[in-house]
Amino acid sequence: MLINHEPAIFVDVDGTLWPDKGPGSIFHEIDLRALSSQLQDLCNSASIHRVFAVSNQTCVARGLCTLEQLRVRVSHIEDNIRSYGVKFDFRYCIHHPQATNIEYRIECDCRKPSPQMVIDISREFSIDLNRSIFIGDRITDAQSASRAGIKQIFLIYNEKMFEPNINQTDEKYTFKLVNFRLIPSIPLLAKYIQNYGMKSF
Amino acid sequence: MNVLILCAGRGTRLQTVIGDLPKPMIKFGSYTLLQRLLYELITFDSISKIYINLSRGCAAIVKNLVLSDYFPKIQILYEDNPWGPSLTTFELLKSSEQELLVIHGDLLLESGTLSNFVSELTQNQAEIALLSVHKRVISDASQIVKVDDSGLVENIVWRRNSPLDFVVAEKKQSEDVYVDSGVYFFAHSTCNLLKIPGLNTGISDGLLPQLTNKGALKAIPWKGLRFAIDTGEKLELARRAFELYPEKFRI
Repeated sequence: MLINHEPAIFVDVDGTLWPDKGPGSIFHEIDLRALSSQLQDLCNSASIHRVFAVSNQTCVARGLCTLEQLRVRVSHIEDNIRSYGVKFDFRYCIHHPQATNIEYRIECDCRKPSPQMVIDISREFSIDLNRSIFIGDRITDAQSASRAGIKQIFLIYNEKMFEPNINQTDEKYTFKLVNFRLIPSIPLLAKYIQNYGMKSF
Repeated sequence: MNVLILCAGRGTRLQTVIGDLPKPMIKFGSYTLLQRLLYELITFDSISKIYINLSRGCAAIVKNLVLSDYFPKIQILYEDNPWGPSLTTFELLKSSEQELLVIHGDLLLESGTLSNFVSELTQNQAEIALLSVHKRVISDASQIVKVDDSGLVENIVWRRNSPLDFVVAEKKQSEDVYVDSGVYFFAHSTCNLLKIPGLNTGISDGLLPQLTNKGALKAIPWKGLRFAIDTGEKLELARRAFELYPEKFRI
């Protein structure tokens, strides 16, 4: 049977969808209405109708919250954004190689810059990664997207964008040219695509 | 045509003068070296993408770019640890169907000279690789680009590899020779002639020697002033020229 693969927009969250205030940023106040509107505009201009958030959420591993609290918060965000008409799913990695919570102190396969979260989503939802886009704010986002096979990668400028994370020194992630474009913000990217089309990138 | 601006170097020879500032961010007047290159390139319809090759520690370059109006045409080509210009150029050439113009990001070029070079490339649709060259007194040259009467490059000889050959040659110490100017063009067809170069090699020692003696590399004398800002001395020289001839560097 032929499966009709659709493209998707993959987004990082801390520093991309909302400000990065360190681990636990997800629990700070977020204007979900404004965020949904931005995502809707981006979906419309790029003619892509699925959005997946992919995030390293270390707050549980660092003992800042429980897994249940994180789940509830993520569900709240998903439900809210969906209620504004955006097809939105949120996936996260809760592990950290130096976690204070020993249960999550794992050298996992899912933590970015690993491409695993993106690849798993593409298999589960039949996503065409070749036509998908990724938006993040760190070089680890670009490395993850690039290794997953995404060609259109956009990074919002962040002073920490080139800082390596704990597992970024692994050569399997670093020994590769990573090609991305800089964007000032998601709304400006949406506006640009609307005016000039995706092909202009 | 795509363009690759090489900005991934660590600039170690200039660190005592400019600290951690990446070389392409050195300002002459109101504009950085990189801005000066971009101003000349950005308006060409024949240029599809401008790749800026960066490595870690180049955040200052990125900040400057995102604040510019050019962001849609610019792509960042990031290496965690610098590969060297040869390998980066080879990978980019191989991954695209496009011709590639490669420019060192630490060049201060006389205004209009780069756009003239691109215009000529566009008009002439070169089928081979081109190497921009300028003249230098043999005693100051670290290399000689040997060119035949038709402009084809026969050989590139390095002082560090063969000091005796270099000095003895058939030339006198005070004689001028051609050296690499830091601007290169690769027609896509040259891709088939190239094998993967070594890590951390420059274009003129990693890639270009593969094209000499095959009639596939031509030398083009650079028309105008150019300074490669890779030592404190050269920075000083460039600053003096900039002060003496401001009209030659006006944007």
